[in-house]
Amino acid sequence: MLGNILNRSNGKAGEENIILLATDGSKPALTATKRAVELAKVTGATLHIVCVKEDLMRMPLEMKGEEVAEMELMGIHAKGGEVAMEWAARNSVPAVMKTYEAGPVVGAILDYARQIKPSYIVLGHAGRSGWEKIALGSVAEGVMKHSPYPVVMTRGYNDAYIADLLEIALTKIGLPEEVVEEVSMVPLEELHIGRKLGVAFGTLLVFLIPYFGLGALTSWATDIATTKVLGDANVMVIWVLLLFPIGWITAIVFHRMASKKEAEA
Amino acid sequence: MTSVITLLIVVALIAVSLGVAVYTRRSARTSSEFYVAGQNISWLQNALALTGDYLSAASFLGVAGAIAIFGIDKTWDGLGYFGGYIVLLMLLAVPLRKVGKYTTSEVLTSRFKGSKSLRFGGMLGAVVISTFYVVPQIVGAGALLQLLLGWNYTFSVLVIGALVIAYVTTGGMRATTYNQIIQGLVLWGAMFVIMILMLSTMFGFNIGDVLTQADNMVPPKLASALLANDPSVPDFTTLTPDEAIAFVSGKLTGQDTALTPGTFAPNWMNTMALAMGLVFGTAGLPHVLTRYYTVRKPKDARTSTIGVLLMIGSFYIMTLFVGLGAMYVLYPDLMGYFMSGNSSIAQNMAVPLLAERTGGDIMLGVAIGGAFCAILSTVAGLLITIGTTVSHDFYKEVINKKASDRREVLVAKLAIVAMGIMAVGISLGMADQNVSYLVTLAFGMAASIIFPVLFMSIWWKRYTRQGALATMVAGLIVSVVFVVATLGGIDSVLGLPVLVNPALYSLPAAIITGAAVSLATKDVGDVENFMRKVHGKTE
Repeated sequence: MLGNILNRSNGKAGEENIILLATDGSKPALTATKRAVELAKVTGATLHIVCVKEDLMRMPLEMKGEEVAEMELMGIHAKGGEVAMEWAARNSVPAVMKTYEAGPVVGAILDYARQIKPSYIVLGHAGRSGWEKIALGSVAEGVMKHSPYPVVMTRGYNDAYIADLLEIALTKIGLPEEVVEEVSMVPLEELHIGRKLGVAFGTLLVFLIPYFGLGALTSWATDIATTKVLGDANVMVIWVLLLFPIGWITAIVFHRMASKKEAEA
Repeated sequence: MTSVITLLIVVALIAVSLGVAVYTRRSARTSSEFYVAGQNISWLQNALALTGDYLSAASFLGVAGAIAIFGIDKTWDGLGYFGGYIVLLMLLAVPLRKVGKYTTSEVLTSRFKGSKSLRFGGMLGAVVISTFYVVPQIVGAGALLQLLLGWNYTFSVLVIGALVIAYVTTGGMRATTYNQIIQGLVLWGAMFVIMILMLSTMFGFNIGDVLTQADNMVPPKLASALLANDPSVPDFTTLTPDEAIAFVSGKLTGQDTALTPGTFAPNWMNTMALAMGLVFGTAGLPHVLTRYYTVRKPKDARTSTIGVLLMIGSFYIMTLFVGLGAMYVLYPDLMGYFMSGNSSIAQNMAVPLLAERTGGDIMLGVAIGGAFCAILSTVAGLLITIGTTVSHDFYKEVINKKASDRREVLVAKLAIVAMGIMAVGISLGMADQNVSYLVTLAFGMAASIIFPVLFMSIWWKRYTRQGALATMVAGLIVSVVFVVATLGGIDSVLGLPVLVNPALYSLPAAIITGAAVSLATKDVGDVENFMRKVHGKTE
């Protein structure tokens, strides 16, 4: 009965039966995962799993502060996509995973939905309220509001219902990813550290000489510094006003030189 | 005590800027549009966040405020704050981003692995510098509340201290980056509007006229000191600017004018100390260095810095004219405040007073609101830096290696509260100091404690673990001794004259000590891998 009802969709007849699951590995998302796999099994649908990383500009403490505040609602930070893939496999449901490296989370989920045209989207509602909702909004409500496809939403979580998924999730906890940049094993001499410092310092002197020159002028040649050159503007005023564009030009020239060198390398 | 309109505008400006920041963070999650293009402007976001972080009460109130009482000699502050980013750009920005660590201690221990003393030294340096940087913000905020609500300074500082600590430990710890982006824009815009209003209402849009007036005025700080015991001094508050200027100029014929150098830093040693402290200080400010962690690619570290240079350079050019214009417009007021012993208002309130004089209650609200935005964003950045380094470098690395995120955040909050209370305590004794002057002292310490050790670690293969520690210790001791001496009014230490900034002594002391100890020792750390990472090709 449920299968019959959920098999109907806005899509045209004959199109592939797809359920789109959006998950972030939290307990509400695990609840949605369990529901989505159940539905896919009943309706014979293919499960598409979408995960979106929030690649935001923020400091480590900002991020940790946010995560700690969220933990009560989320319960766990597991690798949601991997948990869903394994749970789908255990239930013999065909599944595909798609990861977006950056949000907006709602935008990315809908972007993927437009590509695969699912029968419906399944996701969990964390049940944020008060300040948390004001501060972060709700992905589930955002998808509900803007999705052209039907949305099945689970609300909150119950540890007993998702016990089996939690077991998988605990083996796939999302540790902060250490960005490992590849370092080539070139000999230190080939890094030309001395030459690079020479270029950097040489360019810096284009600013530092007139900068400290102003100090010398005002200390030892006050008469020259107070000589009027343009209306009531004396040498010091003009010198001060010129130092800013000198700084800008020096910085831009340095950037262009460095970019060119990097491109050549 | 100001009008209800002013108060409402201040509250509205702060609320709107915080509200926009929260909205921006939220829409980064819930916007229904998927915009990959957003990634390409990360350097611009970073430049704005750095600007909001950097433009503090010192820049918004202090720089123009100091020019209004000292004249052009105080453009050194703006010039130095600007030039500091050029040093940072050329010597440290890209290498720091390539290391990929977010505290000074972590950068140092990337090369000198496992060094607890360097880790602790980095933390201590960051805490000392940041605390000293928080103090002027609280002083500025206290003076603002005095002006806005008529409270006394002590009560104002206690209230603002409690509010700021509460803000940072609750909402402010999250979405700080977005607050800084928005507040960077608010600050620049507020200074621009104040300058345009001043030029239109007082100088007929003639910038030359600002300089002409400046050339006729004896700076109020200088004049008030020279006329302190003169019985013929009138009640300045009853005079117009022209009358007050004519009286002072008549009394002090031949004295330095607002366009004469030397009114603040009277000789070459003081001038060079200030210039050196400022230009090498930015590259040692923990909250600025930490911000490079959020730059996506090493190349963006450069473009972000150029963005900051454009924003703050144009800002400091505005402060030059706003400061000199304020000296003319507020001449009777500034003289009156100094002569009546209200120097805390004279030192820092020229910008809000000028805004009120040229744009009434509404502009006074914009100026005070802008200043509060400057203070909130900078204090948040500073206290979070303190919280990060104490919880990460000290608690997590030394005390409890298995600490959970929850525990780490709790320790960070406790550190923030402790440092906040300490900063409030110090602020109570600093009422009569110009906030930009106090910040220049923090710059002097940053130029001595953090900059040299980072510079030598990144560029010198022969630098050693013991040399790095010696650099930090020498920089810390010499700079702190001379800062305490200058604030305590001591004339000389060990025969050396005490200057307006410690850097002329402490920066060379740090570098020479570090170099000498390095040449006498051998442990260069994991120099090969560190140098490959910092100077190798990673893109």
